[in-house]
Amino acid sequence: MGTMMTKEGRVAAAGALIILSAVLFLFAAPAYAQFGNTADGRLFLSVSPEYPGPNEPVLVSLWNAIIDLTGSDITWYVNNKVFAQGVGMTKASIAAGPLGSETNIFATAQTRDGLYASGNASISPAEVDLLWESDSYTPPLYRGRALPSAGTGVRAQAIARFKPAGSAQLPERDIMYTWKRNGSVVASLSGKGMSSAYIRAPALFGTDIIEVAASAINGSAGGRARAEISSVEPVLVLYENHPLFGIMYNRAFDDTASLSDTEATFAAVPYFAEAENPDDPRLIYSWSVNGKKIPSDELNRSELTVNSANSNGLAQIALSLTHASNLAMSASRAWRVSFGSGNDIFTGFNPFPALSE
Amino acid sequence: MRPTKKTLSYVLVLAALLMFAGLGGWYFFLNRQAETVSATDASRGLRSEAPSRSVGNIYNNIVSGITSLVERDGDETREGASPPQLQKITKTPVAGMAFGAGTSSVLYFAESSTGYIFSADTSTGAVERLTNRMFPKTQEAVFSRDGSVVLRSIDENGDIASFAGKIATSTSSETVDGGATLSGKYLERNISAIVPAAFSRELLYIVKTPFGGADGVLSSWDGMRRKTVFSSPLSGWYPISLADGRIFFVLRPADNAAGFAYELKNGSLVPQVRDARGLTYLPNTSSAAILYGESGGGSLALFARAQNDATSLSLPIRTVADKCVWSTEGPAIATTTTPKIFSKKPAPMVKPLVAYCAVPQFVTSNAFLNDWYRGAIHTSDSWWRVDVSADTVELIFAPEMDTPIDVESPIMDDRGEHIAFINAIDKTLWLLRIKPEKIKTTP
Repeated sequence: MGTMMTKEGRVAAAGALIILSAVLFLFAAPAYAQFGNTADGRLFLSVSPEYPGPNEPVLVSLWNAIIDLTGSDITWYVNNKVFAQGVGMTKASIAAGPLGSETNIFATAQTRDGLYASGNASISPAEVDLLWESDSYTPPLYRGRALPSAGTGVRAQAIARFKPAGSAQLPERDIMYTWKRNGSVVASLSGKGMSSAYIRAPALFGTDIIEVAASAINGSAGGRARAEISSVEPVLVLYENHPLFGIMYNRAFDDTASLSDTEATFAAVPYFAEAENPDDPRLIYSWSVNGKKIPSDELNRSELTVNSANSNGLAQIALSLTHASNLAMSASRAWRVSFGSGNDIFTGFNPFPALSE
Repeated sequence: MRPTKKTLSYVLVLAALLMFAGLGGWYFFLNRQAETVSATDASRGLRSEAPSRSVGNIYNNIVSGITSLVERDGDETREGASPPQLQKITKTPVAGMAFGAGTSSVLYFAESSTGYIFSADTSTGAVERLTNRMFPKTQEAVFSRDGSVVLRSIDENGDIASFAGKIATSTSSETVDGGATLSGKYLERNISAIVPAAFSRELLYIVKTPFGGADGVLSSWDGMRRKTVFSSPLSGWYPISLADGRIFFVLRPADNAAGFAYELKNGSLVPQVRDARGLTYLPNTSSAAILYGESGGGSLALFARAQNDATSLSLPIRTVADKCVWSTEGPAIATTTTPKIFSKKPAPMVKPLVAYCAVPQFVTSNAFLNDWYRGAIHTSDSWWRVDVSADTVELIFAPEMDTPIDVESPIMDDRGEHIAFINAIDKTLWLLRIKPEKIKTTP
């Protein structure tokens, strides 16, 4: 008997613990969805999405462990006005207000047995933007964004806009930021006022999901944002370094190209590589022209000058790029360049007879 | 043995002959050099006299021999004939251009190879070199409305150098034969993007910080006074300054990557467009209207929004906002369709929200923005008129198939009559004449 009572006691204790945990969990929900008491019972309101943005539709659901809500008369109030009414209407779609507003939701449920329950919540919309770029190499006046490649880093910035009703926008120092990488919290980057992060780029061919959750320190509002960031392979682009115009970034060489001059200097630009500049000492260039390896100029290793005088004017330029410390980085490409005019048969020539092996 | 008088005479005569021969050789050498310089100038599209202060003709000096390529409205070389709708202004690469304030015909531009500033009168065809100070390999030139200019180039260390200068007027004492001196100062290094503040004689620029971020700076033209108005741990921003005083910062775009555009208001960033893939952004002066483009999933889309809280309209043309320009035409030169005799009071004129966009006739890349910014692909564009108010688009000009035009950095004159742009294929300067628009009147 004692054993039986002990078992019952354990079951009862476990049940109470579960209910208590559930109650505590619901009480621990974000402060923007606050709940009220009534004499007969409590309605719990859950909000989806958890962090609604300004003017975003929000689905609000009711829940109660004791009352059968499906047979109850339910009335929804939004900012003290009846919004919707019906039997078993346990969900309502409500639009969040603009940034800086507070939408108060109040719901009542009356069962056929006369039981009564009510609850309330409030929605304070917030916005969080997640911006990112890589610290990979792009030319000085490049108009696009630097993209991450293996070995580079990603700089991220969260811009959160929390504006409690009737007050000014919260400053960064009053916001708690939690950064996640592929679902795992990065504790070293998270904390009060930590709105930016430097994260290593995804592995070769990989994609990382970066998330940031921002919440007001006083719990009045919260928001989150996420970004899928993929690693790209560095892109080798060849331009002419013209004596008058400099590097002609507007005209990348295609696989086959022709030049009117008989001599030209070519500049290779390693877009999105782990480098400070094209002549970064960590970059290893391997040039060849018509199959002959050409030693790099130590000062301008990213450049190659080809003189097609006394030749048929066709050059097969090949370039392979690797990195001294980043084994994941490699890129190679070849271009067939025709110098001067009237050379339409490709037989090859050696522009550097003295240097050939 | 002493030299005789006769021997001395021979030596003197020989020396004189050698001197004359040397002088003759030197003369021919100099002549040869002058011919080489002349040929080089000609190859750059300038006649030998162009570097002097002489006034010439656009077609003869800059685009001689090219008119048959761009002729659209008959023989424009005939006196009195209207100029073609599309004109090639330069044969050589330019670094930037601007219309003269309040005019529709004077176009200033900077030559890329020398950094010289020229003015071209598009109505008379006269071209004039305004400066004589050389800035070799100028990659970018940014003009202000008062004739000041920022010339940007890459130095030997790979840093960005920005020289902010003002062109001396023709009455200035600094004017010398062959143009005026461009006086000014170098701004701080590594300004990644710069625009003149359209509402004041200041500059707005983005400069990289040592820790990888960037500051948005409002600076005096000489760079002596500066104020940081914006800071970010990210460096890839570009600024936009409008004449109505508004300032925007836009995150640099990449295909498929979320883009953001913000207005700087009271020190805070107010979002204008959020989370748009491959975002390119073009706000309208004096209204809240915007055009923005998206590039993602291998396709381009262009949207218009007339007001901040309005729904974005998807336009039936596929291009990027970088290839668009808002019309500057105002109601002052509008025409009304309602005869005055029937109206008791003049109908208020409504300025239409009109933009002009260059639209690629076909796009061959799945990552258009990345490839286009790298110069790896070029487009062949036609020009479309976009009436955001009426939600209509209209083709206004399609170049010949053998004249591909890849429009970059379009600008419009104050009267809304011309659009100048750079052809990204060869960085040459072009001019498109726009027919006057009809302004609608409210009933």
